[in-house]
Amino acid sequence: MNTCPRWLCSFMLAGAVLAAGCARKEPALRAPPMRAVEVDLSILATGGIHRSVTTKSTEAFIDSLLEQPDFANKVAPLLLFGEMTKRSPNTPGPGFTLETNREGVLFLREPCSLQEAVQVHPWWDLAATVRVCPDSYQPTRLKDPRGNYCGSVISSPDESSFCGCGPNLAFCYVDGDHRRQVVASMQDELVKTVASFVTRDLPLRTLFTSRETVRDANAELLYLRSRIINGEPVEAVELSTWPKDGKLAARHEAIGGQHAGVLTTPQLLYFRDNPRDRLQMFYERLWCSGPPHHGKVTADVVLGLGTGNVRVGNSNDRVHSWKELAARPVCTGCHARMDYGAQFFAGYREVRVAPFFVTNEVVPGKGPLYHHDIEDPRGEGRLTPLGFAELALAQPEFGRCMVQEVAQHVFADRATPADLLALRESFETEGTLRAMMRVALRRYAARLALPPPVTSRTAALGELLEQHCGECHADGARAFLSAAWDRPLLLKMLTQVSFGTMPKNDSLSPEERARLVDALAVAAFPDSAVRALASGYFQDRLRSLPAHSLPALLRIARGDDAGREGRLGPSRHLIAVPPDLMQLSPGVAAILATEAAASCSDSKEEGLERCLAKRLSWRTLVYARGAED
Amino acid sequence: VRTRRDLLRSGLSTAALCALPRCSSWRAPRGTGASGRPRYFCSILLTGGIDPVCTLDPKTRAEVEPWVDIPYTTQDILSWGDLALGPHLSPLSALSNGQQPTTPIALVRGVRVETGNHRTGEAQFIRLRTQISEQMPLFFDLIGAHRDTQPLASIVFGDSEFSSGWFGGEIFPRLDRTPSAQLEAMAAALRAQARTLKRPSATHEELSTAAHLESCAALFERLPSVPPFKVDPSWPPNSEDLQRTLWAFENDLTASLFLSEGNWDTHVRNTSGQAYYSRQYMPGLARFISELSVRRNRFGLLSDTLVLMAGSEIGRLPRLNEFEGKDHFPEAPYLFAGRAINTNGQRNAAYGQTGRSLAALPISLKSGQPRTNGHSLMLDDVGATLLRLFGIDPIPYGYDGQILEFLLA
Repeated sequence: MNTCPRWLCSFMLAGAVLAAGCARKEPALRAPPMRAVEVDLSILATGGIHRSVTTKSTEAFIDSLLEQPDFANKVAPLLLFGEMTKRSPNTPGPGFTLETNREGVLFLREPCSLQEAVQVHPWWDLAATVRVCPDSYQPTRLKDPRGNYCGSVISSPDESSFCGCGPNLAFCYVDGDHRRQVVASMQDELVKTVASFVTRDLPLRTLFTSRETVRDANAELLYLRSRIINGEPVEAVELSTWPKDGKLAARHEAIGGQHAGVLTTPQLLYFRDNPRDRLQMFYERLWCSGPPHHGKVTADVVLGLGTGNVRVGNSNDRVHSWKELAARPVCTGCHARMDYGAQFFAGYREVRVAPFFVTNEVVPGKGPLYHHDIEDPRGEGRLTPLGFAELALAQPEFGRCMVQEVAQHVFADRATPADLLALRESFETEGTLRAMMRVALRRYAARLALPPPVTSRTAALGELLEQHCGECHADGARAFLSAAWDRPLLLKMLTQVSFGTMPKNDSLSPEERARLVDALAVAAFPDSAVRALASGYFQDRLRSLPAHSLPALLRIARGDDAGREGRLGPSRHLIAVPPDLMQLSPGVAAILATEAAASCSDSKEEGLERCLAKRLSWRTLVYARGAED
Repeated sequence: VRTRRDLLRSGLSTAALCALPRCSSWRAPRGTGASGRPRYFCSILLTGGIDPVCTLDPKTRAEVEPWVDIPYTTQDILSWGDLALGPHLSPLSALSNGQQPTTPIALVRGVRVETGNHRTGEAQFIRLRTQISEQMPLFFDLIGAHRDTQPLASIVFGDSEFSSGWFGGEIFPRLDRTPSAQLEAMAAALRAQARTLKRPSATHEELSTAAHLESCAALFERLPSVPPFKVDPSWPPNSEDLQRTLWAFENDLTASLFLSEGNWDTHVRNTSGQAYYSRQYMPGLARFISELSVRRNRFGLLSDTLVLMAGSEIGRLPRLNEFEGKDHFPEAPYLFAGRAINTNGQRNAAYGQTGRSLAALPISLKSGQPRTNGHSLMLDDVGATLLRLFGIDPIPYGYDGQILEFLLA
């Protein structure tokens, strides 16, 4: 039971020590939650409003929500992989699309007569026979004389006459619809695999190391292609017995460590179209490390490389150039991480060149992994995807990132250091998404039951800088505590503190950050009218109330309490908006209004006006804000 | 009780709210002529990185180092008034050489974006500054916060970062199909929600949300009286978004608009890839610019009231790689159009210059021409200068770039 007094928790931001103390105890939750809180918790846990879930205590209510299938099936994939669960890769459905002539003969380039056509058992139905033009078949051609693999964009029928569809037409789709089905199966594999692991309450780490995924026959085909390219007989695989809705199954490995959980699903491997982007995406998912926005790449730096060939690769000249890039000042901030990381995935070349795992492309032996730059090595591992995953998951950034993802989902931009600490503890002890969500939702509910913390806004800039920045900036090359704070320096500090770039260790609560920004604004803008403008930008960031995710908002606007997964519509790209940035913008309001109006018009139960008022209530669309709700 | 900080905060929130038609009708419309401030900002991202030598910064073989790839002869360079354009911009060249009134165009070459990463470059392009964070508001939000009677702060076509003022261009087709009575009901519902947010104790976020709901309602109320959008088949292909853009400005629906087009990211076979995408999109861009000097609304000709900026998030490395492609370069050229842009009384002008390795040369902030020990042009300078052009003090928003005096008419 809780031993931390409620009044103390409400002032937890007064000091990190007190906050940390509170973080280790779950706050008291005796009274039944208010309805608005229930609604909010339900949306956060299940992506919809589950009115049927009723229990006496908030803890039990949260536990019930997290047992709902929607948590594992809908919320978890979106929370962990965002847009990748809903969008097609840059080069969707690697492979070629066949056409059919009047006689039912399949072809890639030019049609041929029935007499010329050859009979083939296609991969999508090995028991059936189809007729294909000979140039479109080419079962023995797997690689052209220039070394380009059949089935890749670079050897597509438009670019080359060498390749056909390969054995059992494994590189082809019967038509555009078939291709779209395979693309959908790629997405499904990611979503269903996440759902399966979360449902079984497996530690998050296993999601990135397991050989197993949940997939249908279409998704299995994409793995089958790798086996064909690597010279295995296709007869060894029987896709017709694969369950229509897919099954949990281990993936075949040509070499040990070929698979690393969902990282080696085609949806993630080919979501972006080159090895650097792929690695960048992996680091974003595993370490929350995006491209640094603070580099200073100049023409001198780039031209100084003295070559136009700076792509990742394993030939001698390529290795020389990417290693040079990875070590070069400025460039190293991205390329040490990306280019050395790419070596672990050398068997999976870029989608345009070879959308398969090619055994003889694997780099033998062990290799290093870096984080910030070439001066920040994170150990060595076997150069396989699993070797990468094991190294990456062992870094503190992995836990920090999982904590951040859950915190952003539940608290939007209002997580406190105490919240992060509590989540970190849950990650370290249990390591499952459900356990972390339970902690976060309980803290969220408890906070909503309390009045907002009252903190003094005024403080001396010098004291605040010393308190929050002194650890790194008291002396040395980056010292500024004793410097004269001119306008340019103050503006730089204001920008970096306001928008979360500094301090680097997420150590500021929202209230502490606001206080520091206020003090910086006062020093930078003595004129109060100018300062008012600056405060709107730096302090308030022109933001409006944080809103729930697009799928949840659409369900509310359409009046779908729970269960149904509606279409996302043309604004599906909003699925990529991080939870801490999602707001009720004019465009989001317009989307919801049109959806609500369409749904209300269909509904005969209540008038349009009343229905719209209910569906567009801002109190439901945005995160609950506290006791006043 | 309103705290000191609340009072400070009210500055911009109030500005944002009062930019809405309901409370801003007392203000004189701005941007009504060549002497006024511009009223609209349009930003077109030519995604992936156009090759400067093929487009806005052509070079002869003799002007560059031997290792610089120039995939054309001197004869292929297009004459454009006193200036030169790359061979992939023939639609633009034809436009400016015509006899009809034209929108002044200025090219600014060799702008340092200081990144070789698309995502960082795009994040910078929509903020018009470097050293950014994804929490930082977009340039359009700032222009929008200072708008006049337009219901929307900004419209975005294509993928872009989300921001508080986001309104996707893809929403319009569904609004086109919505009956007036339904638009009216939707507007009323949103206004009712906004009213409940605007209580005396409202926080800045609540007031901002109320402003957004009212902004959307104002659009819904305006649309029934706006001529319906129709695609003009006489336009070049791939121009529906550009046509919709003109429609939005003509009907005063937004203060700013962002549009991303194409994919000039030619790491493989640069010359043919660049030519392909330029053939796809440059005719539409040229037509768009030509229409600016024809289309008008009650505030005047769009060429007088609108500032257009077009260009890429990054440049292309002057060397070819092993796939005959060009990788990334941290400098890029930009095109600006509109009467508010200074072209020294000519139809067009060029500022900034790149040297034999295609790296930018320092320039004079006054003339925009090369000067020893001059200033190295930065994207931040462009952002600060455009804010100034729109009558907005850049400093309170942290835009501390140099003001490019040569661009100010």
